[in-house]
Amino acid sequence: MKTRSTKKIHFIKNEKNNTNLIELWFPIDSRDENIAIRAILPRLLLYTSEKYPVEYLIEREYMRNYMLKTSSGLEKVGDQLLYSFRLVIPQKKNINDFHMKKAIQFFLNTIYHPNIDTNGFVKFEEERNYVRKRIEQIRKSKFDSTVEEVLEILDEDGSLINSLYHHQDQLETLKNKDVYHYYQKMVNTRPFIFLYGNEELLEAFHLLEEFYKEFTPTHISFKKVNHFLTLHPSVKTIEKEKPYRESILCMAYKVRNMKEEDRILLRLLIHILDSNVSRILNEKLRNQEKLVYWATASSYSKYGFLGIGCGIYKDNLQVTINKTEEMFQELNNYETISKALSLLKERDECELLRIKDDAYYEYDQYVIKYFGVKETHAELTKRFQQITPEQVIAFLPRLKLDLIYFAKGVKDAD
Amino acid sequence: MQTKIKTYQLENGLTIYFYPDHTKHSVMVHLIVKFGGKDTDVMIDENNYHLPDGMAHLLEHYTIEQNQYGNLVSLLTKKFMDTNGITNRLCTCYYFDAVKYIDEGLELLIKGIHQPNFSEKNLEITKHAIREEIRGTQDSIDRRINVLEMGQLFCNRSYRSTIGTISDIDHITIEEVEKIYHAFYQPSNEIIVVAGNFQEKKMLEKIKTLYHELSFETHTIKRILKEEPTTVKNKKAVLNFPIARPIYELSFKVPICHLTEEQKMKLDWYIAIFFEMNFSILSPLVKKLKDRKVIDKNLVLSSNFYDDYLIVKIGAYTYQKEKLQKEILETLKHPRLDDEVFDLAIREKKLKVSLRPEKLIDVIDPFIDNLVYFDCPQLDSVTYLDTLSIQEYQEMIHKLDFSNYCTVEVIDKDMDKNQEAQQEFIAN
Repeated sequence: MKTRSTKKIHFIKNEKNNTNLIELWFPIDSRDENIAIRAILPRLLLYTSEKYPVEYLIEREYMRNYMLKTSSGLEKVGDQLLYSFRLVIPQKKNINDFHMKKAIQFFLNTIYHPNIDTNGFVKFEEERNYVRKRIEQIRKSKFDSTVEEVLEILDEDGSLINSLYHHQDQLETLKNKDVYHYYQKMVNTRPFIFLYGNEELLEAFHLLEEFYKEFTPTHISFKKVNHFLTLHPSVKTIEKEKPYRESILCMAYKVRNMKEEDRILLRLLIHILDSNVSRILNEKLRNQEKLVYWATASSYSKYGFLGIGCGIYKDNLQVTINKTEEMFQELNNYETISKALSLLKERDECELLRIKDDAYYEYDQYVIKYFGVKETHAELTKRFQQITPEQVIAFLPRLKLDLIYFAKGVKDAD
Repeated sequence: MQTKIKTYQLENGLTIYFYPDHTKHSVMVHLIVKFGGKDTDVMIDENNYHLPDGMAHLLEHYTIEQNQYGNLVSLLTKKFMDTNGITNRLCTCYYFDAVKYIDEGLELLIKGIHQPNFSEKNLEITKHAIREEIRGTQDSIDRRINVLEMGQLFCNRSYRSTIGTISDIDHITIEEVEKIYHAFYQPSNEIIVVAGNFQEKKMLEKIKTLYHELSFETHTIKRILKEEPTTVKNKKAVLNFPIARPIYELSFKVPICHLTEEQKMKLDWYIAIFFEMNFSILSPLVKKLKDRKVIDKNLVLSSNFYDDYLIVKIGAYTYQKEKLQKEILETLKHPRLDDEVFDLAIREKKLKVSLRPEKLIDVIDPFIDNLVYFDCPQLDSVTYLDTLSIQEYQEMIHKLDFSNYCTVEVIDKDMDKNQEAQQEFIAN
């Protein structure tokens, strides 16, 4: 467990980029009963404000200040949730009439001076409706809805379904004043403040220091958490009729007696099955057996399972399941694993170089290291490099098919 | 100061563009063949050919999968590269992005693409993969709408589908594939773009050597552009598809034969500003449509160039298609001219262009677009944007004719549910 204080303003120097970054991370209440609030709040802050109560006015102000629209995200750090508000601004070398102070003030105003009246947020009903429609659209999306349905079946403690998709009832009973109270609690807390860029950000540093001087720093503890799922004695099979042409088969393989140290092996296994250098899954189901249109493997290591999804012809259900099982048996081969591992290790070295070209790589790694719950990319690569074929071979028999979910299409596509 | 593009023209007709950037670790190589989905009517050595939809895309697959070295995507990814082939209506593009084994990647790419093994058996293997790809797109709403719209808009030209239908693919013969390949896959019809951390002199020599080791047939090629009336083929279409709310889209067929390639490139910027002024969140129209609950999200806007036509699409999720259509047409008849929005739009574009060098692909993709769509090998730049003016904008937009259009309405077969939801939507 790590405890961090929001007192410091972190200034990470970078001379490479053309932009500077300012990011605020607000610790927030992470209870499941507030899922709907968390879904709706960022839009209430970023799309209108007290000074610009209509969307087209605030949009103009972003453009006037040479600002990309502030973006927000819900970040899960260990057992804590935080809202991140990110501001990307140009450097004067590229846009010489950019005005730092105006941009920062505008950014802070969108967060601290929202568009409210005596009832709460003025745009509450409008945004609630927007979010409602988005969820309805996700329900109609073949891939997204299938994934959500599978997660719902697998879930044991609410952690796999803590999204609005599974709690839409909250949206219908949500009250404006509750959203406002949640917001007030958030903004009364001093956030974690990160700056990433060149010396022009010193001005931002002083502005933010001044703005937050009356805020009392908070201390937050971050703990790593897992939600390893229970392996059942027999395979659960569920079939649902769908209006699409393509049928989708999903299989969940759980790990017997899953532990923290198994997580890296599970993630590695995904790369062995379905990555650019090792495509054992598609080789088997698509190229050799010609059973699928597409096949993909995903790791849910925090939950202790591996998911396989594929698009199949309706009548190929059982044979695809059998061939997938056969694939796992064939995988239990020292030479196969050794070869895949060797390729993956070299690939990871290349990937580490490649992602260093990302404009915010150093920043992202700094934040990960600071909160101390996850490994940085370099740390993860180093751990991957140490894995042996023997470890993977010993791990494989612990994988067991636990769930089969078949979303049966109307007819096969022609 | 922005890095400049360096241009080389080889004796064999190949054009090469270099964008060196030594702040990056990777190198990105694009091999572009000027043969795309719209090239269905061609002349090869004075003989006319009408090709089925999907030929360019099939050739992309064929050259990747059925060459002397093996499946290029597999071979290059095993050398830890990001790689793929893409066919659009204008060209076929093969690329890789690598941090090591650059020379090997270049050799595999250039030699592999140019040494296919033609046989019936290989063609059937390729067709099988494409049939699966086509089937996979049948649940894609965007694809379905696009194919429908292009079929409605154009009377004599086929811009419908770059990947074709299963029937199109089934009818392609190996003789056709070989003939088209030899005609279009030659250096004078190709471009190479290299970006990132590489040594220019060494790279140039390597490319020259690789092409020198290959042999090419010589053919004269010409694209035949059929006469196309300004009117649309069909005005209305309805598509049944599982969807939460109905979609309504208008597609406008705007003649632009009066413009040079450079003017078209400028128009591309001005159309984006035209959208901002009249159909974006900055416009009074969108506010009006939202206030009257005709739409609840922003309008979906796109514009694309199809030879001597600009296709402009404006659509939305809506239960009130007649009102939406009326407002859109009214706005097009009397478009706004807002000095402030023009200035703000230019600022936004300058900001976005100045960000691009942070990521190689963000520089190279728009450069390739300029090359392929407008035959202008030019990097977008803040300096170029400073040359755009509201007077020129007004002149160009004023000459556009939006009188010819078609509509597509997308509804779910379950009409009762839609109607219930419609009442609820209007009430809310």
